[in-house]
Amino acid sequence: MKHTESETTVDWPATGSAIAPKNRTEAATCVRQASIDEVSIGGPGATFGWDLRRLDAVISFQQPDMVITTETGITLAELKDMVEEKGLWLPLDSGSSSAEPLAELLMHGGGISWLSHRHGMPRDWVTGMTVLDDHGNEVVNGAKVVKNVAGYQLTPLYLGSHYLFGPILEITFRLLPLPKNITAVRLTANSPAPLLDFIDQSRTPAGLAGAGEPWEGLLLSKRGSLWELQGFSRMSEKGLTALLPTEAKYESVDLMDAQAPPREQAPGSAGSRLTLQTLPSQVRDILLSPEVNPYSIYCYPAAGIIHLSWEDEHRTSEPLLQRLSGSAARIISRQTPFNAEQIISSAFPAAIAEKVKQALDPRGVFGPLVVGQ
Amino acid sequence: MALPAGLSRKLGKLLGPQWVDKDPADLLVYQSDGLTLHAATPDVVVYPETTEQCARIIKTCASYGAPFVARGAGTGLSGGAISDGGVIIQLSRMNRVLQIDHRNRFAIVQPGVVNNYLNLQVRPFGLEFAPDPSSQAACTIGGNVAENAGGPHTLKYGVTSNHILGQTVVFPDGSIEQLGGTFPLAAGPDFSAFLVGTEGTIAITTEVIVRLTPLAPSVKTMLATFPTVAGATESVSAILSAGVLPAALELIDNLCIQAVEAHLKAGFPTEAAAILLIELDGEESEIANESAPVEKACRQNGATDFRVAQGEDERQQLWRGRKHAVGSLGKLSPAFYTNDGVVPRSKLTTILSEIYRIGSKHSLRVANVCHAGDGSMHPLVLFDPTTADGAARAMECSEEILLACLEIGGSITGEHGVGVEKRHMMNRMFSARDLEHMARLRTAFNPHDLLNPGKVLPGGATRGEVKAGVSIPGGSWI
Repeated sequence: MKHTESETTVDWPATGSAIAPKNRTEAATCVRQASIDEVSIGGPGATFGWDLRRLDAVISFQQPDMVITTETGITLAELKDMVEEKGLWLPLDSGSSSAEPLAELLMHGGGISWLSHRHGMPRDWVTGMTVLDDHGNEVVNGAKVVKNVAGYQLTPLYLGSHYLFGPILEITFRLLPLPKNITAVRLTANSPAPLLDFIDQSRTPAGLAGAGEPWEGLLLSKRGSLWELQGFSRMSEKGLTALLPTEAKYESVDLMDAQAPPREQAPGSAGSRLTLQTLPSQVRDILLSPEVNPYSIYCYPAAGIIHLSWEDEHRTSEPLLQRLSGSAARIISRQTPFNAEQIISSAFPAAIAEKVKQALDPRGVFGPLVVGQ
Repeated sequence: MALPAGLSRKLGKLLGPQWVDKDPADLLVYQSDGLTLHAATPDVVVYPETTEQCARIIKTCASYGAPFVARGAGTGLSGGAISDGGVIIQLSRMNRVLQIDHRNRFAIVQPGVVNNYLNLQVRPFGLEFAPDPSSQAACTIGGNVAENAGGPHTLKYGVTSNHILGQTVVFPDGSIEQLGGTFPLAAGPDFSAFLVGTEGTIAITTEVIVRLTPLAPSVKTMLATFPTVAGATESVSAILSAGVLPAALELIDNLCIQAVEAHLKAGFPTEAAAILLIELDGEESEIANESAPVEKACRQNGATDFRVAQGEDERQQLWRGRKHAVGSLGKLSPAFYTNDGVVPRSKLTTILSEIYRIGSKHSLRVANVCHAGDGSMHPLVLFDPTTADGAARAMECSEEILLACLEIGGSITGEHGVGVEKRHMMNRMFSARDLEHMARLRTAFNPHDLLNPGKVLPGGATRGEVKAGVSIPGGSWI
């Protein structure tokens, strides 16, 4: 970036590179200059991407207020470390993406994890944010308190938007007290059935009424031929043990007291990947179907999310997709080059996406929204 | 503006004349919502039964250029469901629970379903719809969605936006859209989630998919008595700092206690400066682990009594006292003005002392009930409406209280919404640029400002008042 007395100009890098502003002023300047130079920064199909890692300041963190405001260049892991040190907890996880800057995680729809069936997604924890508008101005939305309904809350439109409406520079999360006295669980079995039985039983013990939701985190995965359940609960070890069947259906059973919530340990997934979303009640049918057998799997059974991966590049997912056609399951992501179709969903239909884009970025400074091509 | 000629006849043809009401006596019911200081009379009220009827009504209104406003039970507290002329679309006939899926923990309901009624239907399955505003015996799910309603238990379970999976909506051009669905999560942008809390200014909700939450297996409700308000507020921070997340953590001050005891004898100690109503829920061992730190936090901050509700009857009695605290003030004053501000939790002591100071300055009594765990305040300004300046003084006092909340980093509303009541204060909380950013979305979806005009954003957003660089002065209440 060059500074002269009267103006600041931007030396654009090679097309396709990421712009990495060293501060917010520089980020704003880039947006203004992009508008003049008719280039775009951010969304899919934009001239440049964003790399906000250098915007990593903690803006405010008062432990008694149980909210934290940071710039979005810091990682979720760093943020969690910071709040947990003060006895607080942000019940979001991101598995292998924990090293990504928050901006990437939030903008690409990350943060669905083993905690999501109980604690939802990032948008459930964001109370406010500061974004850059299409003129390079900082715009504040929401508030830095736990509860606020003043004005429209734009967070649900920005999260998962792939920067199409502009970057989030600063974000405020509400926090919880760090749970103490929890029980961590690890069970392994040769098939998913006994693990699914245990999950069902633990979530509906003693009939239906007053079952509660015992699981804070719940992850089911297949490693080689062995299936593994990882989870943690506020239930006592004694309470959880009582739910385990007495017959030996498991290869191993580990229940242990823990003083802090563990973080998700999702197995790495090399090769191609497919993510399915379905109703929790249909997870069992899918996991027990022969078509999923060849895949590596990790899934959040209580949230209806199933990640499948395969290393053999010649394998196709056709048999599985055929089986799923006509069921309530749908594919929510494939590991393929991004296209704008990926933000279009029943929650954000194309016609609405186009109106929102037209309202927030009519000149396409943050990249084009091309759908239905 | 007068209702365009022919519009009501056309609406009668759409719905049947019995579902179109122009009787001036009936229209009086719709003059205000729970905020009775703001009144406006619609020209006509219509009662649709289906989404398609709503869409046809909206298209018809739009073709005549007539404004229209959706309304549920009218329990809102910010004037969001009133209409100065035009058409009120009263959704009370759309009151069916369409589906309950207990296994996947969702229900599909029409917007006129009363919050409590939904809970009665899902409790046999061990589930509940978690948002529990004090008006839940009357307020509707559609209204909860419009206002992003909260309640005492949002401390642990979140507000309405955390419990909505999808909606069917009708936009101001009459188009119908189904947004979201029954899957628990949405990774990309979520327009249904955005609509929650937009106070019916972007679209009208005609069907809602709500997330259901498992009922906790055990509940323990406690009452701590404090000789000072500061003791109660400091206990709130101490409880949370001890790593305990109560399901509810409510503060009630002495004036409110007096009113409740005069009205329904909930068993609140009348000598207390303030009480905390604390509810823990979860598995029994979890509650057992958390009870001791809660009592310790209260005792260390001066609690003179710490009582655990013995049995469900006593628990219900305590909650009856809390949920009827606001209404009970009628025992102490012929009128009162209900406020709704939020502060950072650490500023609870500061703001309550400031509220009492502001009340004294205006020679008005101010009672307080707070969702203290959320920093969510409901100062209730008591006034005499028969004096010439009674209401005006109460509103002046209230505005000063909300500005004090803003001054220490808070918000002008935590759960009641902006409506017409606080739109002139929006520019105290947000810059003109921030407001213009919100207005862009309103203009995109409600370009002629016919849907619930003049709410939320100062001036209604599409009539030129909200523009970057233009500052709208605060001042008199509208």
